[in-house]
Amino acid sequence: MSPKIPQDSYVLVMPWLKILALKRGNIIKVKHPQYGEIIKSVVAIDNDGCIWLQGLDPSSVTIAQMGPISASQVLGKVIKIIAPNSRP
Amino acid sequence: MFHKLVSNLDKTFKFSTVSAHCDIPCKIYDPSAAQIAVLTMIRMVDLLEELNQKSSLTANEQAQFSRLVAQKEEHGLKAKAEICVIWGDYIKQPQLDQFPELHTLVHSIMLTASKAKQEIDKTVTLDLLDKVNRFADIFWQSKGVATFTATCPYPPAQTVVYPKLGA
Repeated sequence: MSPKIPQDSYVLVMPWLKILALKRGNIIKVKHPQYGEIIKSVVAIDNDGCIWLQGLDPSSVTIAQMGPISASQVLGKVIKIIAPNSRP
Repeated sequence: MFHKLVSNLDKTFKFSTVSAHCDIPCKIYDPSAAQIAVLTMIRMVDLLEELNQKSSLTANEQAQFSRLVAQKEEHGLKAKAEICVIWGDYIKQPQLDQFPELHTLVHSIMLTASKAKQEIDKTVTLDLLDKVNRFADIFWQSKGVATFTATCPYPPAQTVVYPKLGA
């Protein structure tokens, strides 16, 4: 997710916020079957309710490689990113 | 500094960690696999031509003929796949700006590799080697590595572009 979330950043994740409607651009924490617990941004939610994710770095794996995830795999919504050298 | 403050809290409360990177940061790209695949195709054509000189084939020779054709086919696919991966994953806009011929060259490699798979024609496989060598040359140049050409020290003893890696 570099450059938005540089290495050694802290993120504030609110688990209960996942019950609210997600939308494109939201950054969420998910339990991915292949990549484990990971943070990605929502790129789309299809008609079946599947959530498609992507990273922000050009070298991230593609949306198709990430595959869709279901709402039950969402662990929370990122509401604050504290990057190294950042100010409150 | 806010990050420092949270960092101190982290030492006490031990926050859980989560990855934001699912990248596959291997960045291992090397056109030599494609070059060797093409050399294998040329070698298969040479061996097939040897069989072709015979008026009739024994059962063993017929089996060998099938194996050689199958290997030529397999290495044609391998050459295409290796080039595709470098083209699709490594080549980005800076390399395209530096070498505008890249898209046309890669497409031409795909077409020539298919033709080399379809036929037992040494001229086509040599043409394919020329193109894959050019691709290798561009690849190494894009990484700032000089190249040189040499005859590979094994059959089919063809000219190959190698990276000039210093000590």
